[in-house]
Amino acid sequence: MKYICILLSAFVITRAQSQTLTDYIPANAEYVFSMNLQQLNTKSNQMDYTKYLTPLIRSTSGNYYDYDNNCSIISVEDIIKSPSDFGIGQNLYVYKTSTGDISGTTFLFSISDSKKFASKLKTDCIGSSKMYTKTIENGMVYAGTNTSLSYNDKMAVLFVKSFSYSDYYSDYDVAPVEAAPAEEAPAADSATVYEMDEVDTTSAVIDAPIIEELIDAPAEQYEEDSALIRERAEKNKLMLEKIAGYLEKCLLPVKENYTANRNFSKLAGGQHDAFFYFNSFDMLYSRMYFPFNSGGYNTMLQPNNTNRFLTSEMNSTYTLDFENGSVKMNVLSNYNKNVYPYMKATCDVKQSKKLFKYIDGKNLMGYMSVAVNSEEMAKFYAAFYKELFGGITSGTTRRSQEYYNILQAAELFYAFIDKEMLYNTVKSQAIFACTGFEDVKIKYTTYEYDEDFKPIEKTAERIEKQPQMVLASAIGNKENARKLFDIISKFTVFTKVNDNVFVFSGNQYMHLNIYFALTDDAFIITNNANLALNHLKGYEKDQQLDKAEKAKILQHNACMKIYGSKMMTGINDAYFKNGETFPWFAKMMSSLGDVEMYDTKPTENGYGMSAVLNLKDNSTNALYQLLKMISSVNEH
Amino acid sequence: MFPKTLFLAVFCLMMSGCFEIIEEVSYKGKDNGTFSMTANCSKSKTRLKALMKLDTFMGARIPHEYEINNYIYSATQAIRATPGISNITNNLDMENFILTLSFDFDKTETLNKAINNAANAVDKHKALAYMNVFSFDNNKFIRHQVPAKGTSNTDTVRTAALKLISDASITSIYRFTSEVKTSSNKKALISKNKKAVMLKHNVADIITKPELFTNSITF
Repeated sequence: MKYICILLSAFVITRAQSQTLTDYIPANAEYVFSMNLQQLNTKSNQMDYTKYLTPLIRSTSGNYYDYDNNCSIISVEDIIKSPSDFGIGQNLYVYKTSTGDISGTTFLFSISDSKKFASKLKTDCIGSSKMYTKTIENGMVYAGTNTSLSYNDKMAVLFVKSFSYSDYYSDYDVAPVEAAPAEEAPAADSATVYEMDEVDTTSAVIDAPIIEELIDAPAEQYEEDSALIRERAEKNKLMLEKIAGYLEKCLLPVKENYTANRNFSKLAGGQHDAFFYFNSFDMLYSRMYFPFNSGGYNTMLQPNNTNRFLTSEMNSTYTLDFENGSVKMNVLSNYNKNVYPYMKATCDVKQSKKLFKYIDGKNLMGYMSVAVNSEEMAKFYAAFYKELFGGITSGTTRRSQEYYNILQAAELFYAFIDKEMLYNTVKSQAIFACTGFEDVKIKYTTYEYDEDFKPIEKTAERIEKQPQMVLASAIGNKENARKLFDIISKFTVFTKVNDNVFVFSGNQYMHLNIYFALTDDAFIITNNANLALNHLKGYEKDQQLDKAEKAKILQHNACMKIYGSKMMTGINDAYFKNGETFPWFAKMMSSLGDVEMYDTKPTENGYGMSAVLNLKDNSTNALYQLLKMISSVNEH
Repeated sequence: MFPKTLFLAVFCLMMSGCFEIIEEVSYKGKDNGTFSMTANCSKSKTRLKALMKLDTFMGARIPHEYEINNYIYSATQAIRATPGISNITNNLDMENFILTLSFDFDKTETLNKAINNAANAVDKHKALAYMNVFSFDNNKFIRHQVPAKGTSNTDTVRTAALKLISDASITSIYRFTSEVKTSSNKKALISKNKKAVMLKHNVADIITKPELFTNSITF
């Protein structure tokens, strides 16, 4: 017992003293992205995958990624490309914070040898007015207007500041410099030396045209412009000091950090090649899905912080793993226990078996199946949005009042709606499938010539392969379904074929015939004339989906499969003659396999989805295979 | 002849596979006549319509209908501004994807100028070298080689792309007021009344060997 206690104490002490990188990520970071650099480099077989990450890296860099390249002490690409050259540890964490005018993206990574790391830095800008330099204990801080860096003997922080209007226009004031470091930081080391050069206010960030203008300008104008330049330089200095303070703070563990986040810790311990953790779900939701604004973004909308019955603990996680012969992606939406009853009720429905008979399984290219209780789902979203937009209803501005009234009007409108008609006519149990390519006759114009070579216009026919699609939805209330079907069929754009089928024959942009059919158990939309006109009772069992696929569809509320190989062969046959094709298309055909996606049953904490891209070669890692394939495609 | 338009057109056409181009020169007098060109893509109309709905396809930008109209308008305006050109008509049938363009010219040199002006109006980025497409002197009509150099067909990708348009054809019809005595191109046919010459070729062949489309006709 004594030994157990000693061991336990030793473990607790060790655990308390050792710190992981996630201890340094503040809990209020909007998102955290992590890449296991060493794992990815091994799996890529040293092929350069970083070039495909450039758009991702640039998207984190605001609007001025290239402006400061000459003054970048280290680039994100360099770190990702060759982490071992910098002595960088296994994981790279990227997180975003919004803290006033120094908001931006932070790249956090451990380093094994700070001297080796320092030797790799670009030193061109050190000493210039564009770079603020500060010596700290066992490390340095380099603050630039765009890219900044701080490091000590254990870790490094690279910060890419978000573009700020106030950086460039003087009518936006910079707030006073905060005392850094803050609460968690130790007292400033007496050895800390501030090496900020005396800012040269006459040369700092001066554009050539301004100098030319100054030379020609009258004395008063010269004074005025000089003052403006001095003001800009002073502002720049304040900003750099502020960034340096932030970066110094980043090297200290924070009290409320991501390690304490249960869902995140589980994710970080999963040894994934890459993962993404999306925090503040409610805030981002309000930015992206604000219903009264066509732009989708509204800064005045604040989430309601007082009522978080449904929205607290809401976040999403995405993982990506490259394995031999496959790429796996998992998505998990986490929520609190109050959401679970809604999710359970929404997913407490199976796909209708009656829909299977409308899917021709012989040449199936892919399908997607969804089975949810739309009425229960609507209840959840109504409650969710009500909570989310609760914050604006208490506003006193005219706009807030307008929004408040819109919400009430929506509720009033909803009260009048016939719920039976809305939710139980065409139900949210549907299968969409591409059932192959079929020959379709196409008329076209051509010319023949008489004996004196005068052209004579003729109409000819050719056979073309077109993909066959079908969407079959289960129906609930047959009487209502018939009523709606009969009303819709009377629109002049449709032609009634019989009591159960009407057709839309396209316009100048669309030559497809789209059939709408109603049966006893389904509402069908398809371009497959054979199904709509000859098989409305359904296909024979031996022509339907195979049993395993049916079972999978019945097990999941959402399920998708693309038969990659069959799909690409079908496209090849339809668009290329005699099997001849582009080399890159042939390469893709020989590499890509099926794509599958399915959901997991909702639990008390979350609801997830898994997606797998299979490759034909099971012996080699998928990342290496995909890089080789993309490289081959790019060559062509 | 219209490099940029041709690039856009050829890309779309390659994606569609089948099309035909008809070039007609009909002389009405000693050196004046009518030129007309027809680009008929109706055989591929369903695929073109599908393509036109996309912004890009396999990384290449698909032109919008208004852009195609703009190119046609620029070319037409440049032709109209050429002294000696009259009766310009053009029609773009976006239902069947058939483009027709025709105009009268007072002499063959004017016809060449009009074609060059149209090419430069469409490709504004660089001035193109003057192309002598047709000449008509001393009872001899010549269809010259345009462009001067063919596209290499050694590249595997180009070969694959050219195979995609293996069904596409280009036809030239030249009509004269006098009877034709000889035609240098062995594939060319002389009409029953001996006043017209027709030459039909595969577009892929002409792209790699433009000399196949040359002809020298005497009267």
